[in-house]
Amino acid sequence: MGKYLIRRLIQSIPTFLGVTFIVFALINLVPGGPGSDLLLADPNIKPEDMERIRHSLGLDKPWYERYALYMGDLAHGDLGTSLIQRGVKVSEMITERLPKTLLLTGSALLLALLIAVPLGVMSAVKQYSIFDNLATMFSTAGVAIPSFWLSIMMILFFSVSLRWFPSGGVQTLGKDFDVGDVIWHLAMPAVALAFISIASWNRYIRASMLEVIRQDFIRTARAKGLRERFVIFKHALRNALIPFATLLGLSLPGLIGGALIIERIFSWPGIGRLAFDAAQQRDYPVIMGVVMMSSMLVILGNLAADIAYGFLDPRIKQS
Amino acid sequence: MKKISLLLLVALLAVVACGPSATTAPPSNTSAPGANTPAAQTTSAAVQPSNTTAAAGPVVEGGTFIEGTFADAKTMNSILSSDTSSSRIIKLLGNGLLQVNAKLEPECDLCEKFTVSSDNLKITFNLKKGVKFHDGQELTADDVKFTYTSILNADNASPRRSDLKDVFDKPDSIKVVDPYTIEFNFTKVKADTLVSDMGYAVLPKHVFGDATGKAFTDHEFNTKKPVYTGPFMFKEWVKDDHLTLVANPSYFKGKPHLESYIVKIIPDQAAGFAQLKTNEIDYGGIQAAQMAEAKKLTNINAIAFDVFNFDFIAFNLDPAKTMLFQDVKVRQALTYAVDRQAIVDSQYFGFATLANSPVPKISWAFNPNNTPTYGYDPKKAESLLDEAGWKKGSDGVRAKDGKRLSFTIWTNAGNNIREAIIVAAQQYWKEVGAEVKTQTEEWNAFLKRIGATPDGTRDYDAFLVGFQWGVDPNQKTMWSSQGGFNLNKYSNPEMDKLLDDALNTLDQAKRKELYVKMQQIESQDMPSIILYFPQSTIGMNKRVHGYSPAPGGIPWNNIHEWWVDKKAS
Repeated sequence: MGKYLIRRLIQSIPTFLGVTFIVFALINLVPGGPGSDLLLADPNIKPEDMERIRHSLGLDKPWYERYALYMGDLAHGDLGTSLIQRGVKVSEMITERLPKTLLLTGSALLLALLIAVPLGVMSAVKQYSIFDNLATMFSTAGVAIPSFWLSIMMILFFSVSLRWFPSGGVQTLGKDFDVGDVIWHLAMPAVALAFISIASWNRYIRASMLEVIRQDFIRTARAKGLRERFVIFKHALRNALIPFATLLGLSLPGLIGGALIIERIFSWPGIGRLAFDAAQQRDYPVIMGVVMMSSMLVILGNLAADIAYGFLDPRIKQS
Repeated sequence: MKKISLLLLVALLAVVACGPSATTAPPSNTSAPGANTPAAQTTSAAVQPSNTTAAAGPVVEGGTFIEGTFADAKTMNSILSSDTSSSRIIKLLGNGLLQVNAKLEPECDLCEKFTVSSDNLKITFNLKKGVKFHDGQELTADDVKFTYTSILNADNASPRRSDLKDVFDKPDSIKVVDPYTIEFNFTKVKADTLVSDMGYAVLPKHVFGDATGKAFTDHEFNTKKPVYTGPFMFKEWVKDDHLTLVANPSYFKGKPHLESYIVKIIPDQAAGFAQLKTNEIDYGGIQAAQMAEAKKLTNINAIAFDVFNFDFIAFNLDPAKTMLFQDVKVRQALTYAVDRQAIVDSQYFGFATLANSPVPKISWAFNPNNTPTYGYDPKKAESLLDEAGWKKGSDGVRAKDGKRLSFTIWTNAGNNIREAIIVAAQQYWKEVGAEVKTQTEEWNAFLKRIGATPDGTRDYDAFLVGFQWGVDPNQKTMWSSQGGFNLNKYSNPEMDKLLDDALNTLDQAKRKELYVKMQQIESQDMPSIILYFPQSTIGMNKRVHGYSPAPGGIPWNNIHEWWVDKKAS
């Protein structure tokens, strides 16, 4: 197992280097750069001011030269500093936002799992019942509703009309930190984010369960006289979760980057917004930092899914 | 089990079901970069005498004021800043030598008085005594000198340098006479200097020491530890979330009533409006489309201001790119052909002023009687095109010497107002026989195309974008053939001379005369159609007192006198 892990990690190094090269080249070859809208900012700013600022940012050097410089710094563990909020370290910008994103996406994931799995199982067990039909309806609606619309509707209903929840932010500003306050702020964005996953995941679980409960070993389990609940949750669900584990593993990086829309609407200061703003403002070191972090997560997410197979299905051995 | 699951399902469905019963708000995508030119919210002048300073009880000390804004600040260094969000924070933190007052005139901020020599080449500032930085050190003329020499130092990457380097090019250009007196010796007269250059918040020399270059641009002062003289002191900045300032107890104009001032970042405009409704923020922008609803709200005052922003359509006048717009009659005809009032009504719901000259009406240089005016007149457009030799073909499209009157207009993608306007213009122009294609492009690519970046290509026939003037009516950047923002290569020697002359005197009457002429030439030559000046539309919670919307917009100058009722929660 240990050997397997090490081999997989070593294999991922060239992938990782390839990603840095391709991304660096791409973001530098698209038009624009930090301060490219400076002329529009103020009638007293002149083109020569832009040139001077680009020079001070080192942007007058060709991109491959800057790539070499960047990789040199990276080898020393230095992710560089922002070109927009000058002087602020990229590592600091990421670590500042990562906990908030993880809190949001983590609780959404948990919520989604806690709801989607039982929902999917129930749908499969009671196939074509009223419950199943309602769940199908919910899933179809859930997949069809765009998350930005759902979020705005939640704000209008639960914040503006009912005043139950705040419409944005991580905590009440001007007050001391308080866990209850954070959970209160977290509720709506987490539900909005979980909603999309619940809708699609419960379909996967349902389909997967339907396949499993028709198999012989389930019939055997029932024939042995095991209680139905035990048959479903111990024997059937465990097997139905194997394909789902892949899906979950692949959605891990999405947990970091995929919350952009929810983060924007609920004013949640997370990684998604950082990446989005950096991309728009061409803050190259920040884009690189976020991309490297998420490519690492994709690699680790895949690895985690492979390892999870081993636990879910003892027949699969990693060697 | 079944019952519990059903309950769960019902609860989930409730989220969906409840949705449509609430009032719908349009999804906002106008907060894309460039959707609002950065100065959209600061440079504003009140047009409506407002009821916002209605009589209230006695002043309440303490309390927190929360401003909502869609973009985070980039720096807290006054001479590196070029965006609205940063400038707002710096205004709360610091003071410049002068500030622009409610009448949009320069007045003393850090100075006791200032004197302009008779030849307009020397300005002497007498500083207020006993003004302390937030760390307790006293502000002196050395700090002022440091601030301006830092701008002039090419290594410091200040976007303000090019504007000053030609007038302060001698060693004694900025001269400290004594700790409370400083002289600015100009090499040549710079008419706009009082409102354009003397407002930079003064930096503390003792904090920066000898820092230049990277040590200056990346100094921890800029993003972590700003030290100024202003009404509020820096407390914390959680990026993309909020920035907290606390009252400066020894502020030289008096301790602020507010205990703290928080700027909260709300990227989504619909969410921002919701937070105004729920009292989560005290102040924030409102989209013109939502002003009607905002005016009905009982908890906020919805206020509209005239500002220095405008949107314009530029025609490419570079013969190397296109010959279509070389004839002034074509440009005039295309202007007459567009019903700008209809555009203002449909896109801004009246919260924009039709432009009759490139100068906004809040400027002292505005000429209300500027001619020619361009009301919607498709007949006149047609006859001008006929005169210019563009004859209608069988397909309704005009042509001259075998060349069709056919071109493409560009704007930045994601700005739904501008996207709607180029489509409307396409229709209006089709009616007079021009075949126009519309194109949108990502912001950075668009800037490159229109030539706003150093590597710009200027590959366009026409484009629509926004810009904003400063308080001073100097418009050299756009109309001078040497102007930095003259993106469509307009050139008129008479205009060039006039713009230079207008910068060579501080005599406002004489300048106004020249700028009246400028407005007339621009309207005649029509290198770009100035479409309209959109208003800045904002909401202020009724619990806020002490601010006074003036002809200069809500001035932040007296922020130390603002106060808020205790929050009813």
